[in-house]
Amino acid sequence: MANQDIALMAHLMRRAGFGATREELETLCEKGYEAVVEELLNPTEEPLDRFEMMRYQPWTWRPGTLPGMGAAEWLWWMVNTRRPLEEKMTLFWHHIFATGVSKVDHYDEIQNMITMFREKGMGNYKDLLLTLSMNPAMLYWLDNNENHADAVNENWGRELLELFSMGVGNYTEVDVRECSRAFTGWTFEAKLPRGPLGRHDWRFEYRPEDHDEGEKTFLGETGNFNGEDIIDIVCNHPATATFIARHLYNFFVADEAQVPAWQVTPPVDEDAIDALADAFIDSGYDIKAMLRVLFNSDFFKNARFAKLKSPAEVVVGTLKLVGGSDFPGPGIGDLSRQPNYMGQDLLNPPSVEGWHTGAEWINSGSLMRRINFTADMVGDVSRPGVQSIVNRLRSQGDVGPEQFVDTCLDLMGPLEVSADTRQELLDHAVPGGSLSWSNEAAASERVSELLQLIVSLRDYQYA
Amino acid sequence: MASTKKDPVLVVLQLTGGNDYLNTVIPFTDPLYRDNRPAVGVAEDRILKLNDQVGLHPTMGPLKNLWDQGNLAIIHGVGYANSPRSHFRSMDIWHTCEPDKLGTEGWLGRATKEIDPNKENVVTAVSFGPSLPRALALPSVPVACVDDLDSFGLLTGINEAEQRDKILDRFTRLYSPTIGTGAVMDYLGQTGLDSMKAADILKVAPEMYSSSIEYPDTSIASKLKGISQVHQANLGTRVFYCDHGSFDSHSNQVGMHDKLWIDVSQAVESFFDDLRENDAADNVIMLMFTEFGRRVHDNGSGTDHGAGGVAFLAGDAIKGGEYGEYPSLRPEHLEQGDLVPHTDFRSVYTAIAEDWMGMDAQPLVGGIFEKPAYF
Amino acid sequence: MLTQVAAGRTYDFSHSVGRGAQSGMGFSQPVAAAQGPNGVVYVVNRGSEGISNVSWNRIGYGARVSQITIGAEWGQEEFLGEFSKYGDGNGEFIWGSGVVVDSQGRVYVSDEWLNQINVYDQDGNFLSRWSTLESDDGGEHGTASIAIDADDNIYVTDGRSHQVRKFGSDGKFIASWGSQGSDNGQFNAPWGITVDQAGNVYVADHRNHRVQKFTSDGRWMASFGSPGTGRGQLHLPTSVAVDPEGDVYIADWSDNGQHPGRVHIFDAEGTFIITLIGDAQELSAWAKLTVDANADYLKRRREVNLQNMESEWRFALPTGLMYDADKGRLLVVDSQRSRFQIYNKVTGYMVPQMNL
Repeated sequence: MANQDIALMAHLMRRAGFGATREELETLCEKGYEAVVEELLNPTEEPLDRFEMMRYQPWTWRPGTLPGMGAAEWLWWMVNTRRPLEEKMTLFWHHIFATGVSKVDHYDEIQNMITMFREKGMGNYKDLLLTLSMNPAMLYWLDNNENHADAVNENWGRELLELFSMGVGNYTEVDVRECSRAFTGWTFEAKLPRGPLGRHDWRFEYRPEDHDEGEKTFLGETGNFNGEDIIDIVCNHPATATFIARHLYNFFVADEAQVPAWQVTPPVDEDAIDALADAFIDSGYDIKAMLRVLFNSDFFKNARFAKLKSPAEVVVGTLKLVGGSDFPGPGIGDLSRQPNYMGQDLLNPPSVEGWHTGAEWINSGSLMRRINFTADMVGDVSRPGVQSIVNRLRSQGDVGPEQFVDTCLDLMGPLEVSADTRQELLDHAVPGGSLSWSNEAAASERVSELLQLIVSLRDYQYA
Repeated sequence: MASTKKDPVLVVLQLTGGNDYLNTVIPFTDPLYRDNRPAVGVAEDRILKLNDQVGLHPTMGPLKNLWDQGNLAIIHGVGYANSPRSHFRSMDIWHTCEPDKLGTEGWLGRATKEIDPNKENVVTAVSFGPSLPRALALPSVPVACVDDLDSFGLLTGINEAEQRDKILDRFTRLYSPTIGTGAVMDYLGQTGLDSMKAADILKVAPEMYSSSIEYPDTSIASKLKGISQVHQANLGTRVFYCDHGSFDSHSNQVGMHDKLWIDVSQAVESFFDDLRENDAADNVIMLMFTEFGRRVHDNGSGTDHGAGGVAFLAGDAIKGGEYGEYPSLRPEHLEQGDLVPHTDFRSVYTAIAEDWMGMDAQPLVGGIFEKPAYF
Repeated sequence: MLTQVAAGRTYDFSHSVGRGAQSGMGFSQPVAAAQGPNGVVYVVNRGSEGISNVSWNRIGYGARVSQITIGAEWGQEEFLGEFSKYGDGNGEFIWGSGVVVDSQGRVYVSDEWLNQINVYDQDGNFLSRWSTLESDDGGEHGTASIAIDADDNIYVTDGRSHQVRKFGSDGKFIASWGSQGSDNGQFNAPWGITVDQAGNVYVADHRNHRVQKFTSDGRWMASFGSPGTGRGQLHLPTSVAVDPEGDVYIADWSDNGQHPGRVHIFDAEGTFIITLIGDAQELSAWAKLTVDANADYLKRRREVNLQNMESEWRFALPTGLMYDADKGRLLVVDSQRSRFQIYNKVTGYMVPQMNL
């Protein structure tokens, strides 16, 4: 099989999912790139069964505010789903519609939002925005329950325009006001308190008596608008197409400037943004249509290792690589904390702006966490995924240091590194001489050590 | 300011989970205390009385010693208006000084940047715990997060020392500026080397340390011992952070609260004994705070989330005593069954920043607050 | 409906017991319960994972066995004490999954992760532990539940190797049966298990959505229920109990959203009688303590509409059933609500006039 095919497929699976094992990549290559893209867009595999999780880890059903533990089920889902793009899009929307337990204080409500992203994340954007506008966690997060006919609260109205659709510079303060008025009365029912018998779901409620029925003028249009009308107008605005396109580009293709800079910083690749925006408009706001254009484009295929992995990608990707996490065993809560230790507390973003991505993921503490976590995982030769790498090497028989290094780099990606980096790895391997399987344990040990060094590379921090 | 030339150092001990004010500093002469605490009230004869009104929880003997020496300040009724009674949100407010909106930057992150604007010392702030507390979060401010000082560093999973040295040596070469191109690669390289440096710097602390003080075998004691080791190694660390918990005593409070305060009190006493023995105490103060106090009336076995709480300052430089009044327990003075705080937590921070750290507090805490004279 | 009448039987809701608590008066993800000859009810709390730097309880919040008594009426329950904790030492467990009490009053608690049984005396003092695995066992195992017969033989289900295993009370292996599949006598992730007065064994065949009945040596006898969420249909049954008259109680995880759990009642011949969905309209005594101590809880409860209120009355993923033959009542371990819901099986019930 042509190595370039594997490299391209590995790229696709790192971006459109959380990576794949070499065995999976080989199977996917036989299907062909475009067919795989279609399967990612229209998954046919069954979704995971959350009753499996509830049987063994019943606390994950309504995790309430168990500190830091709320993302356990989601982490298990990300690692084990057979519908990787669906899950990656779920993470994407969590980045955009960043809602946190720090204020909501019910992990279960944000978990419900995650489930909603899973169901609607590759569908129509208008539908997604409308559902989001009725999501209780979001309504509470952005204070729309305090947005009354006689006392407007602009938090949701503003963020809808600034962070969820058009971006700053495309509307006035009056538009924010009018938009907010249109969403008055969009709230949720009183629910039972958390104690003493556990959590209950929040339910959306529209209160007509608390809705401002007056005329509104929003983005040049006038009428007795309700929230649905605002979403219609917003989706139809060209800035929304560009805004979503830039987000998809930053998430799936290459690190971009951060959102607050978009008003002044043009996209890295204007043509790519235009192509994605056109797909959004031509398809009537279909996210899947945008993704199809994206994954089949040259700008995507040529963007290998052009972005830094997010902590979720580091943790999930590593767990997928090393295997052995399919059963929701003890310790899943601790595993779900790992992205937090690297700076991404899932279900608890720092603010409604979400996480800053790219180089901003990295500081001395988070980098150490990334390296140590990944190295500990690949250093565990009892893990099935590591075993599989060891077996592939063994099947080559005794090899010289050069082939040893190149094979490891190949099986860990294929990872593309600079000539200098490769030389350093080689210098490290040469004193040990050939990789000889006459001593199984010693050979495994050398493989494990080289893998640990490889995951410590700067290059390995890129997806 | 500290009366010595040594740089002032702040240790923060966060009592995570919402420590029960009423059973920590107990208003034992107030009949309303007894009325409200049928299940978890502390018997009067067990209370460590400080005067004829309040006393400490019976397990806090070691802190009572600090009080007797005049080195413990009790800050009554601390908090802020409209307490949300949520662990996360309340903790965020304490960390970011943003009660009205979600803040992302921590007040101690801002302080660390002020102390070391050019990042000359990667261990200016050291936190003992796996994740970065938001109090210390500020982009571009390096903070060393240490689980365990003895095993802190890169690639600690590689057991064999010689082998690990070889790998780390290789790591340093791989992260050197000669390899890689582009701003992000350079940044990654520098950051990787910073991580190495922090590990190298902190590694020496346990090696240099000697003390006759035996710390108890508890997690909080081992964190404070680590802080003592780093402090005594004179690495220039000015802000230390650690936490203990969970103080979230909804049920079975009696046994749970006892154990928590035994562990904290003993660890804190060992810490100050250790510093004093090694002539390292005069430039250290400790702030102990919790995100909120607990509900005045107990629930039959514990107490639920409340509002106003108590904080402590300890250290040789602290002027011991009570600061502020005990908030009224009278039903008409409670808010949703909770004590109403009268001292904004940012006034405590302001006093620490200005009168101890020698910094302008306003940019750290986001406003001007009256500061009590704790020093 | 607090009272259900069908086929000459009446199930009359009595009261609920419990509240969420990581220790003391309340439960944390209770999964199973059993009553000793001394009248003490032992409740296995699965607990939850958490981050803790409290040295005496690493990450298993609330994992323990509670000892309580449950009176005939509301408010008569008493908390007696608790034992065991999260861990792999003697008397500790990682995933507590089931509990039985033998004729001598000894308490057996199964561990679904470590695949072992811890045995305690009636006060919770550790006596011994033994493995539910055999030396030649490969593959994955999960000791999901435990039952005991009149001769103190122990039966366990293994949800991951799809088997029932039978042991002596000292842990000596006697027999096993079952394999993965959906034929009679095969299992898919079996969970709850019980033994009736005649010594027959009933197994909640979780992922086959049925309960199977066997003789004490594993011969297949009958199957109860068909897959689905309709009347008398089972969806992910978790637990089974049989009363002295032979009525069979099956708890399941109906996927109905608003009512995530039911208890189905069949007669001994497998004829469906009636379904319970939970009726805890009144707070338990311990739960009431919490609400009374939290003025804002009480205020909020008074603002809640009927539909939202109802979600508290109903079962939420029940995983345990216990028939208390002494008092003629069914105790449902309402796991996600950290409580029991108790139904009296009333005989001689006089149905009131319809035109009242």
